[in-house]
Amino acid sequence: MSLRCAAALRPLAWLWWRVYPFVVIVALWWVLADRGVLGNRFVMPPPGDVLDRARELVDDGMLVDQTWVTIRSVFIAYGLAVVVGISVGTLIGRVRAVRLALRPIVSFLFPTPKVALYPAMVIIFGLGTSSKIAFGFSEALFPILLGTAAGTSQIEPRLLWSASSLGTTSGQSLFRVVIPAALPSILTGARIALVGAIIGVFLGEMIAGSKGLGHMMAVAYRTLETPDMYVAIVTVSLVGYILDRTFLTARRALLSWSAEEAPR
Amino acid sequence: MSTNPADGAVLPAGRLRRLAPVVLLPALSIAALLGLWELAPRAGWVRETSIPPFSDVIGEVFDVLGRPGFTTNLASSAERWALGLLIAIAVGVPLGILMGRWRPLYRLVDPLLVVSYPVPKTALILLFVLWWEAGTVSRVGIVVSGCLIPIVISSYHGANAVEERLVWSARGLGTGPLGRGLRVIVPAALPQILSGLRLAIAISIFTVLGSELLIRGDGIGAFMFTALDNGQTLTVFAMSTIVATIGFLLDLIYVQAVRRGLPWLEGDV
Repeated sequence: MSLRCAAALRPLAWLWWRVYPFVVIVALWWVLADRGVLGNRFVMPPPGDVLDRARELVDDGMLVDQTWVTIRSVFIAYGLAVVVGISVGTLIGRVRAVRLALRPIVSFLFPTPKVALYPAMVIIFGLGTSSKIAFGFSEALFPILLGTAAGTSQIEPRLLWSASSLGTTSGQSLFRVVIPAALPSILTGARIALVGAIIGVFLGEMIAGSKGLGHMMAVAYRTLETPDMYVAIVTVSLVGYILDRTFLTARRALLSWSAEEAPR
Repeated sequence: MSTNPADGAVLPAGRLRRLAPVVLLPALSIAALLGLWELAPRAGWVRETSIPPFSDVIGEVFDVLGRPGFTTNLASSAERWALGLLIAIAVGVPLGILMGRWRPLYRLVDPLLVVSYPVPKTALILLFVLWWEAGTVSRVGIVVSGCLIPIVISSYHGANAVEERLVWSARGLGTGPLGRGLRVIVPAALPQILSGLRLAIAISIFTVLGSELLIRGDGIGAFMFTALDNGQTLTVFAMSTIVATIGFLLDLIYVQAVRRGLPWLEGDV
């Protein structure tokens, strides 16, 4: 009886641990705003006020438009980083000459704070969305590239031998053996890269831009529309959270065959 | 015949042929990249006002390094960076270790970290300025919030993976809980903590710079933005080069220091 009871409670417990962090954050926010710990209603509006403002902004279409601008830039930056990162990463992992040639450049650029290059990107690509895409791309590229290089360089030679003895050409084995065997490592980098792309695009829009959620936050700061600032940062965080969760679910599905355990 | 290139002056021809690409290929690729950077604006493939040639940028780098404004701004950025990183370590390492050793704490804190992970922390500087004004509290606080999560997570993973036998033997020998923590768990978790710190160093530099680009005032990011606003393309490129090199060097120094200072650590940082 108690076993059945525990089994019935399991989905509830699962749901609770999913909702729990949001409950804590909203409750903390509400208490801080109510007590005025961080300041008055102007600098710290309660969650209800921010929600009302978000509804207004959804109704006049602005929030949806700006969110869409940001998401579009994130997807372009991320897509480019995936394509370039996996192809160059595979070359680094499998071809010694490429590894030797690119190592100094990659090991210089990887630990470099990419935001230092952003003003230069603005000069090269202009104030429009291209410079934000470039910033998001530079944030997303290296985790994928290094994950791919690490994964493809550690493939058991036996896998490749058996593939070639079964008549797989080396071109075919790239997609049938090398990339699948490196997938756990590629996807670990790709998860970090996804959040990197979002942060790059959002920050790029804040620092110098004319569109997107980041721009909305920066403008709200300058015009002292404080609730709009909260709307912008909460929206981009939710977008990030949903994309990150979706990525982890997809990763688990893609790696169901692998021994590597995916994080929750 | 020597088999070790380090102790033999005479290298066999075969070894030389195999070693040559190890030196030549990286040198060639760097030369090609810098050559392209020099040639493209000179040949008019790109406008010199968008990408100034490499030699001009290097000249400007030395010029900028000598300006008094640069050094004072660099110093104030470095101060915020170091203070923020130290606070994040002082809070994050104990928290992560406690989470690794005491499950209920992990269950309570981890979901909050998962939700905060995709928040663009650097952007919070604008809210911090509303709450605490644009002073030290905001500027250091933003660094702490930027690099706390990787420190906590890596300390947690390190402490969680400590072999229970080690803890039991220490307990059997009469070591108290604090002694076990300091003399068994921290050393055993150290490799993970140190690789989390490497990540935290990179993120904290990013946060300092990003937050200064957003609220200006003083600091290296503000210095850089002033150059961008004034349309001083050459100075912007020189600043980017300097700051990128500082980030690279700090990472290099950290990795070398860990490797020299703690030679018993296995694997990479």
